[in-house]
Amino acid sequence: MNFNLGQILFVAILVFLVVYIFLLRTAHSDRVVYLACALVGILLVLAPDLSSDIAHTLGIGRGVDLIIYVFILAGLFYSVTITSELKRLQRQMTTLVRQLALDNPRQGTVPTVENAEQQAGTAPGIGDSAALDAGRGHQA
Amino acid sequence: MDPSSQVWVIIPAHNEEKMIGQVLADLLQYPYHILVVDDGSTDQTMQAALLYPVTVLRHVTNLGQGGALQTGIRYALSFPETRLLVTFDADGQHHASDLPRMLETCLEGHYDVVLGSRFMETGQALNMPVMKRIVLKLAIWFTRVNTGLRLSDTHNGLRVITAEAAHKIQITQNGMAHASEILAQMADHKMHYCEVPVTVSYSAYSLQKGQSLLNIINILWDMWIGYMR
Repeated sequence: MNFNLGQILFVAILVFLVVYIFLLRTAHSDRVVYLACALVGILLVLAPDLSSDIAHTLGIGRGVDLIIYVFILAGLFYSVTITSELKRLQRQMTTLVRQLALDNPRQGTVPTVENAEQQAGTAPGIGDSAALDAGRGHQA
Repeated sequence: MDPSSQVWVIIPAHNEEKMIGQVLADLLQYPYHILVVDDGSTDQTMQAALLYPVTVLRHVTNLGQGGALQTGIRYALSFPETRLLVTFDADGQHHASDLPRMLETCLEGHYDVVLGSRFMETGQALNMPVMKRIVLKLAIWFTRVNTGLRLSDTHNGLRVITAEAAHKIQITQNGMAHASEILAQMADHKMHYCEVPVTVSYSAYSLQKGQSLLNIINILWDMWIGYMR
């Protein structure tokens, strides 16, 4: 089987992308990639024939085809950075929700004849200060 | 010191107002500390739990069972006298009567973790649907490949963890992938563990509350995302 230069290059880029996602990525390196994409874009606008020349060299039909392939790669890259960003947000939210819970432990009551009636009517809720006061202090 | 006061039973609960009372009544036959982590329930789970002499922590929004467990572990470990932590499901599928034997095994065998198993010889899985059995057997095989742990039951919510081991285990998977995450960390830290046969009873309620089989895809996805930088 014969592969042209473009096929080999794109497979290499995809493999690199996986390594990048799981091992190399930093927020800083993402920006470098975006900047590089922008510069290449400007270059291709200023020199439209360049994409065709590169496409021919790589064994890809037209310059437009090359641009579509690169665009798909850029889309993949973008979705990776967004997913990672969502993960970071989720971590922050977890920390926040957890700390709120730990700071506010509530203590349930031992059912007795006296409070059984009250419990049957209104269960202690969020605003119930007695339930809050009875909570054990959290030692961080 | 009374050893039973050094035990915390941690129950992550999400929309369990119907069942939580029954679960707590079952557990309160034993002298352990009980902690319910209300994971952002939209029903009256917290109010229902507060009718019993237990501690309740509330997540203001739903994080998932893994997130709730980690919150519970953090709280229980904030008391220096805590020796053993128990994880226990809120949907009524576990039996408090399995606990004394698990805790005893943990202390006597100096184990870091004791896992409940419904598939060991004297363990029981009552009214378990066939599909659930198949998926759980797949999970056991997956764990063997993934962590090297040879277990008879890998995704059972009933566990005993010593305080020292719990300090090392950091659950970062908020969703259901935490079960695999705990096992992976046990393997990483080369923890000393064993399995104890327990009974898991499936009811119409627990099956409806429990994991849908399609969730296996979500779990694998979460694990994959978890490795991302």
